[in-house]
Amino acid sequence: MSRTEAQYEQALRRVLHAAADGVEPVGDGLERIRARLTAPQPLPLAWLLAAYAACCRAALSWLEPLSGQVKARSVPAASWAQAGSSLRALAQQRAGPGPPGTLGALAERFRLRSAPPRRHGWLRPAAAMAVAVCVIAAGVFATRGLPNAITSSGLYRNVTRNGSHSGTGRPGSLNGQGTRVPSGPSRSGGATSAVPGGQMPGNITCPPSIGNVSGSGGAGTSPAVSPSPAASPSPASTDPVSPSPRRSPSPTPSPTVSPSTSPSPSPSPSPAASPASGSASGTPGSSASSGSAWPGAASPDSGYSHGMTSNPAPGDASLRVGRGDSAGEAAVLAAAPPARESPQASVTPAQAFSSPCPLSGSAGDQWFSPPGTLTQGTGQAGASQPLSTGERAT
Amino acid sequence: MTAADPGDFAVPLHLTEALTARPALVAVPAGWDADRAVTALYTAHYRSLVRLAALLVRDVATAEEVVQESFVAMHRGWRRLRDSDKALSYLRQSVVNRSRSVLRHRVVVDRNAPKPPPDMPSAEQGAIALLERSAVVAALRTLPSRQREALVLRYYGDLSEAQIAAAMGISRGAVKSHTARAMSALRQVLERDA
Repeated sequence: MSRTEAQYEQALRRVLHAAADGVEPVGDGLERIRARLTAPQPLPLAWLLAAYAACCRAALSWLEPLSGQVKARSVPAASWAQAGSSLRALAQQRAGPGPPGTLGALAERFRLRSAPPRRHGWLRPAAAMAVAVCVIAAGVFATRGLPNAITSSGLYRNVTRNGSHSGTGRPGSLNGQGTRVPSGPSRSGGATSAVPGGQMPGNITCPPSIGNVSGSGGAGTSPAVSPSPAASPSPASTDPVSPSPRRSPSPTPSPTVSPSTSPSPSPSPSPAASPASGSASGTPGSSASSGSAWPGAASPDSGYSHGMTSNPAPGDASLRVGRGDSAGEAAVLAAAPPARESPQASVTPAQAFSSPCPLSGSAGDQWFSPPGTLTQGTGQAGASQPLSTGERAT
Repeated sequence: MTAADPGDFAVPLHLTEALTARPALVAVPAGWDADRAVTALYTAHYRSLVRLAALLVRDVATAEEVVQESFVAMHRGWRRLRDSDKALSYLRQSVVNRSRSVLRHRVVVDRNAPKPPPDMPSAEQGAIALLERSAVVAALRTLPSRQREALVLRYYGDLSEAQIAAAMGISRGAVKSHTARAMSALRQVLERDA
């Protein structure tokens, strides 16, 4: 080390000491250390430790009787040892001196081994029980979401619909608002062509058209419209028919066209269909025979314009029929038994359910949607589409 | 924790000879409990350790926090301390490590939250200003942390290379390297400023 370096080191040492001498710590350092040592632990840590201790205590209290049972079950090992010894003796008698045969190996297999007692022998059953508890908990958590998954997939509703379709029909499916429509006593006019005005029972599913019930004279004329056998042909008679509060008196244009299942796709001009026939609904151009009329898609208040526009084939008569104008009649018809009950069904239930919504491609998604979602927006009719399919079969 | 007996450590404490390894200060009897040992070590080394930490972290309050935390840690781990004679080495190493942590955290804090200039200088800032008044200390600040630690432990603590290596957790060769590079850099800085 050169002299310069030594001088540097000495200078550095002096400077550091001089600088550090100016630092004077506060005199209560020991009290602060004591306070830190006696200070309680943070609350989360304390809670964590307490919970851990409680869990350990509970686990030990739960495992103690289990270990006792395990010990108690280990007693019959003596009998196994006796059996093994007898087998071994028998094998020796049979085989004589020499290598042990199969019987000897078996006897050796069951020979009681004098293993030293384990100190933590209870750990194995404890670990097994812990694993079992974990598996059970996982299974419970997994199965908890299963009903929701089934419901969301639509399978559940499909099944329930098949079961509760007869009579009043699927709840909330008729008017799309969850209100049940009483089933009509007669569905004799099941043939769509036989219905005056070519109104399909599928009209039930059309909420906007329901409001036209009072206006469509054809609806009252249909025997299937009124729930009572003595159905009055007056339009007003349809009012008590449909219990749906959703009826709107708005003159919603509703096309009345016979469905595609009808042998004649061109609907016969019914009084309800054509404005000239005395339809009080005032649906301009709602006659299905006109073909060009697509009021459901044209009018914003139709309530299902979205479904109509999303129809794959606008020219298809059945699609328009599904939006029939005489909604009261439709509502009554919707309450009728399903199509599969009708022997005249041209569409099998399998077909009907395979295509739950023949009216609208987008409504098919809404078919499995809850009624609350259906009432929102324009896809209200989607909730009752399958029923209309079934009705169309009649 | 009980108060230490006055006769336990009758060695006079000089403010600037803090970390000199003298057996009377370093050795702690094996039979002592944690409270008594901490009290004795506090009486003997607290001030010097705070100054060492102040040279490293450039903050008196933080230095006190660092040293107190080191004492607390030693008290909690007293049973795990195999050799009670190395209690002072444990304290020194703990102070150095915690000072590193403080500096590391301070870098992040300074990067994210700029400090507004205070209106009135406090006593703590006066101490810092006193520390930084010296050109040598200012030059010391420009050194890397390892080199600064090596220099402080070497020339302020008067520790040997082995003790510095134990305190810094590095080898003796690394201590030599850090010390030599620090001295070279410090000389360059001082000659440039001069």
